[in-house]
Amino acid sequence: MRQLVAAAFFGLAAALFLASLARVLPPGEWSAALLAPEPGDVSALLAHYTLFPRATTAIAAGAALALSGIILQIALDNPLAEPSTTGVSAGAVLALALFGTASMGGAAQSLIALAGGLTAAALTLGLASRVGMRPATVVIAGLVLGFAASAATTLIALFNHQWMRALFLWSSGSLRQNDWSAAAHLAPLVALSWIAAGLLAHTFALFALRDAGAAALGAKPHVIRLAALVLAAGLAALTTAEVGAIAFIGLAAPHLARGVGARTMTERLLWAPIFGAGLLWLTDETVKLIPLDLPTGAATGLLGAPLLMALAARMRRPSLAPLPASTPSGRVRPAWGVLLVACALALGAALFLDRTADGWGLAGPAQALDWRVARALAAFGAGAAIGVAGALLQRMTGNVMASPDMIGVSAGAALGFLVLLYAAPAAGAAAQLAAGGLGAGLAAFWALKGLARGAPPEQPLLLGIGLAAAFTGVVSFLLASGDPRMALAVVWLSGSTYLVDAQRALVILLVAAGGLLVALALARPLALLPLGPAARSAGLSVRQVQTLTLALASVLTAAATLVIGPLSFVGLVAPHAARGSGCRSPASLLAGSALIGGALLAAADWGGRVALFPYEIPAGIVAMLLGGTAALVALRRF
Amino acid sequence: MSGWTRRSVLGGALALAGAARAQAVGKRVVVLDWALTELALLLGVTPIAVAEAPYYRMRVATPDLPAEVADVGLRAQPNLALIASLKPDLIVRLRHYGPPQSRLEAIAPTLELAIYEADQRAYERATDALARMGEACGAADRTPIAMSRIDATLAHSRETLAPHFDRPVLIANFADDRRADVFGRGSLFQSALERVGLSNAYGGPTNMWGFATLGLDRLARFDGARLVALSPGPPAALAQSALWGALPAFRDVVVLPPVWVYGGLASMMRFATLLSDALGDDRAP
Repeated sequence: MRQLVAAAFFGLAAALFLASLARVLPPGEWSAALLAPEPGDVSALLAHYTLFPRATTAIAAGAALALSGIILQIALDNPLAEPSTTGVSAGAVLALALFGTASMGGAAQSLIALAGGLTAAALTLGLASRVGMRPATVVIAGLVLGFAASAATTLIALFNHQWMRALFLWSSGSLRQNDWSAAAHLAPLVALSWIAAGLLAHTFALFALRDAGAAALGAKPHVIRLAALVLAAGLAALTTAEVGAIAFIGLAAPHLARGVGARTMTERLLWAPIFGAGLLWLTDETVKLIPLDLPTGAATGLLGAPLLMALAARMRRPSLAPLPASTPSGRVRPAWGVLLVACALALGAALFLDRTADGWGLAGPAQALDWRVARALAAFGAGAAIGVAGALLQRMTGNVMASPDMIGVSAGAALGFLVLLYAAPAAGAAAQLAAGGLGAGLAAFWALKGLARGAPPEQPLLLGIGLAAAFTGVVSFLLASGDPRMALAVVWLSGSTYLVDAQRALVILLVAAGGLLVALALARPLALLPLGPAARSAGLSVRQVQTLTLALASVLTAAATLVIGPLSFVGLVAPHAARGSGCRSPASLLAGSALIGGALLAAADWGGRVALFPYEIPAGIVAMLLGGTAALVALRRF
Repeated sequence: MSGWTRRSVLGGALALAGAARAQAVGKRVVVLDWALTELALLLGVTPIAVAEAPYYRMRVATPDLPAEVADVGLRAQPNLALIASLKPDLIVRLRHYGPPQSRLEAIAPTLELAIYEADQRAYERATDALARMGEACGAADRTPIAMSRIDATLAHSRETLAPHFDRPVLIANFADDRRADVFGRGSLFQSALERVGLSNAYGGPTNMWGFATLGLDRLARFDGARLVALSPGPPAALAQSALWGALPAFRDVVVLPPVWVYGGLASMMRFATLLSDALGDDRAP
C-alpha cells in the first residue's frame, strides 16, 4: 500500500516533469542540458538552470519539511505540530522584511532568512526550556512568537506595500529557481538529517510512553526532546531560507504516511519524508501546468487537504492522543474584578481618549459618537465572540493549539471576500458580506461533515489548517500579483474596524452575547467530553455535543471575521489568558475568554488609532503585538 | 521638425505660467491617491492634504509636493476624523481604492476618478480625469496648458530617441530575482512608447494596470529587444548569475531611476524623459 501510493506520487510527478522538459527540448538533448549545456543554446540553458534544479529542490524541500514535521509531532506529542509551530517561518519572513532590501535574492537573502528562522526557534526553545521543555509550552511559545512576528511583518508591509512584493513572492513559497544553489544545499542536509533521525528512532519511541514512563526507563525526556526540536527547527529554518514559506507539507506528509499504514516509529520516520517529497514534487509539477504564476506554497494546502479527507476513513483514531489542556491545581477563584476593570478601561480609552492633529485630549460625546462608538463596540464584540469560539474549541479537542482559524471558517470567509474583491471590484459591502458568509458556510459544512462521519475531533482541524494554508498561499499570491487594491486586503486581513458602522457593531455585539449564552448552556456537557464517547450529559451524546460546539464556534468565528477580519490570535490567546486568571471550570473559562478577548481587541483598536496618528494600524496587528508580548512574558513566569 | 520645437517652447512657457498661479485656487482639496495627486499638481492645484504624503515624495518624486501639504495617513484607510477636521471643500478619490464614497461624502463633496480599469484605456481615462479635476477645482482653464506641456515633453523625447526607433524595447520591473513585471497594452508606459516612436517587444496579454509578470524563462526569449529595467533593476544575485551572463537578451540592460508604475500623466512624462535621457547618451545599436 505505502509503496504503491508513493510510486503513484513519484510516477505522476515524473511524467509531468518530463512532459514539461519535452516542451523545451527534444529528449535526445536532455542529458547534455542536465550535465553540460551549450553556452549559446537558450533552451538548454533554461533547462539546466531552471527546470532541473526546480524538480530537485521540490523533492529535497518536501522531504526536509516532512521530516521536520514528523519529528515535531513525535517530540511534542501533538498531531497538529508542523515546522512553522516553532515560529521558524514567521521569524524568517520578519528578518527579511526588516533587513532584506527589496528583491535581493541569492545567498544574502537565504542567510538573512536563516538567521531570522533560527532566532525565532532559539527564542521558542529558550522560553520552553525554563519550564523543562513541556510540550504544551513549546507549542504555545512558538505559535505566539509566530503571530507576533507576522504582525510586525504586516505592519512593515502596510507602509511599504509595493516594495514588499519580493517578500510576498518569497513567503508564498515559490519553487522557481535560477541556479542549483538551493538544490545543492538541501539535498545533503536532508540525507544527513534522515540518517540522524533513523538512528534516533529508538530514542524517539520513548516519547510514546510519555515523560513519566520514559524517565522511569532512565531516559532524560527533556534532553531528548530538546535534541529532537533542535534538529526539526534547524531543518525547517534551512528549508525556509532556501524556498520560502511552504506550509502544510510538514503537517500532511506524516499523516499521509500514517494513513497508508506506516505504524512503528521507524516506519513513520522513513516514510514521512518520502511522502513529503512526492507530495511537494507532484504539487509543483501540477502548479507549472497552470499558466498563472501560482506559487507552489498556495497549492500545497489545496491539494493536500482533499488527500487527507480521502484518507479520513483510515484515520478514525487520533494519530496521537491529545494532551490535557491544563491540569486544575486546587481551587482557584476567577479574578472577575480585574477582568471587568480591564474591560472598562479598554472601552473608556477607546471611546474618550483621543489624539488629533493638535495632540492628545478628551473627546466630546459628539465626536465620540461620530468616529468612535461603532468601532470600539465592534472591536469588543468581535474579540468576545472569537474568545468564546477559541475556548469552545480548546475545550472540545483538549488541544492547547486549537484556535478558531483552524476550523477553516475564517479562511473560508476571507477567501470569499478576496475572490469578490478580485473578480468584482465594484461590489458593495452587502455583496462582500454575502461572499464572506458563503465562504465561511462552506468551510463550516466541510468541518461538520468530517465530524459527523466519525472522525476524531482533531480531524476537522487538520482539514481546516489545510484550508487555512491554501488561503494564506492565495493571499500571498494576490498580494504578490502587483494589484494595488491589495493594500486594502492587507488592512482587512489583519483585522480592522475601519469600515464598521453602527449596524455591524450592533450585530456582532448581539452575536457575541447570544453565542456566550448558548456556550454556557453547553458548559456542562463540555466538561464531560474528556471522559470519552460513552459519557452522556443532559441527554446529549458526545458526538452531538461535538457537533453543536463546532457549529457554535463556526458561527461566532464567521461573524467576527465578517465584521472585522480574521482574528486567529485573539481566539488562541484569550482562553489561555482566562485560564491564567483562574477561570478553570468550562463556564468561567467561556465567560473569562469573552471578557479578555473583548478587552484586548477594544484596547488594540484604540492603540492602533493613536499610536502612529494619522496612520491607522489595524486592531488585529496591535492585538498580536501587545497580546503576543504579554503572553510571552507570562510564559516566562509560568 | 520645426512644428515640434515650436510646440515645446510654447508648452514650456505656458506651464511656467500655470505653476506661478498655483496658490490662486482657493479650494481646499484633499487627494487620497498618488496618481490623482500628480494630476492636481500638473494643473497647478496644491492639495491641502494627501494620503501617505512623505512616501509620495520618495516614490513618485515629480511633480514636487510642497512641504506644507499635510499627511492624512494610509491610502488604503486614510484618517477620516483628521480629514473632517481639515474642513475640505473637495475630496478626490480613486475608484476601487480607499474608503467607500459614502463615508467620504458625509465629510465633503467627493469626486471619484478612475484611471486603471478593466478596459485598459488608462491614457484616455487619465486625460479625462485631468479635465474633471480641473473643473472640480476651478482650474478648468489650465487643463489645455497641462496637456500641451505633456505633448511638448513627449515630442522632445521623440527627437532624442530617433536613432533608436528600429530596436524594440522591453520595459521590465523586476519583482525578485526570478521574475519581472513587463509593461504592455493598457499601461501609460505603452502610451508613452507609442508617442515617442519606440515599439514594445512585449505584445502579449496584460492585467488592469497594463503589465504581466513573466518568469526568466519567458524574459530570455526576447533576445532582439533592448531591456529597460525600472529602478532598482535586476537584483545583484541575478545579474551576477551564470544564467544571466549566458543569455543574450540580458546583455545591454538599461536601468531607469524610480518611476511610479500606477501613476498618471506626470509619471508618464517622467518615464519618457528618463528613457530619452538614458538611451540618448547611448550610441544607436
